Amino acid sequence: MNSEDFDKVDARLRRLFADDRLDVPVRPGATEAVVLGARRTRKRRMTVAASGGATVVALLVVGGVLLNGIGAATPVTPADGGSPPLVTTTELTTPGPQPTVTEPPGPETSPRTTVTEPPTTVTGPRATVTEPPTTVTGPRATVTEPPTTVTGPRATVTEPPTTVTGPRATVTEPPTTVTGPRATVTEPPVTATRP
Amino acid sequence: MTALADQGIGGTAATGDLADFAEFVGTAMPGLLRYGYALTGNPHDAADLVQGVLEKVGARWASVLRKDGDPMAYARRAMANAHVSRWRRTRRENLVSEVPDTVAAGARDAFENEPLWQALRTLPPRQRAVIVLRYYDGLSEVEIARALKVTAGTVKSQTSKAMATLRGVLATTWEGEGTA
Repeated sequence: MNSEDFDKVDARLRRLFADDRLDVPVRPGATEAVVLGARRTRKRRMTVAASGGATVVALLVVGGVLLNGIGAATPVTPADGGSPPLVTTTELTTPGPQPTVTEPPGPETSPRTTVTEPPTTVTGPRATVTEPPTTVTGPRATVTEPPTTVTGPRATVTEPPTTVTGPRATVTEPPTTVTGPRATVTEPPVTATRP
Repeated sequence: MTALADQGIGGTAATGDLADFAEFVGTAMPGLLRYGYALTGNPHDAADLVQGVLEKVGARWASVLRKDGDPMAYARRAMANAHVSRWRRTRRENLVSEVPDTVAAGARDAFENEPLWQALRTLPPRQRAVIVLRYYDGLSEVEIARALKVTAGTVKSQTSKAMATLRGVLATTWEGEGTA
């Protein structure tokens, strides 16, 4: 096969594709059928797109709600729905000069949850200290309060009772079991040899 | 167009662009059927191919007009790709419970006595599509590659293989004609 044959094939292909016998008559109603089919396809595509979008939105909403739920569950909620735990508000009502409140640092007494309040010294004329009830929620909290010393003319300190709620910590130790071959102690016989 | 408006195809604002599409279909259908016949080698397959592609083009008619600008060229490229894709899907053997309808004895191929046409029908669809795009559409190798979404090297190799097959068939025919 040479270039002449190649040109021959080339020319015959062009002639073939220009042949009138390739014409296909258009069926009556073909245009309407195509347009109706296009309309149907478009509707189906829009339906699929809309349902897909709705699914995405629903997934986003559910995901957001779940994430919010996880985030809200992290902080400790109050046990009785009242005042928040471990928050103490102190109001001083002084008819005269401002009293002096000194709180020296105190040592920690326990590795568990321990709240240690140093001794409070109020100096000044007639101070009134009112503290709201303190609620501690959590496992076995220990509250140690040092004695309060009031120096000065007639100070009144009123403290509400402290309530500790929450499950008691229970430490259960399993019985100690020793497994394995029993140790045997063999003592050699004592032999006394007289020189 | 009146018939389409009566059916509510071009009557609403939502399907306003489908009226333009219907006009395009009416104008382009004969040329596309001819092109489909060249691609598939069968007028019935050509009609199916044209209808399927035009329905897809009509479903995104505004987008085709906006992005491509030439819906006729777009439809031709889509037909070439759809023809190759359909062959990929259906080339495996399909078991059916009933014997399919056969072509009636009276329906004769217009190119029955044309050896080049018969040789074209034996080509795999991609090779045939390359030949049609080259010699029917007059596209270059780069344009064919862009239309079929393949590399220019693939177009070159497919064209070479197809031409070798066609030359072989024609050489046999010419030798037979020479000896006869």
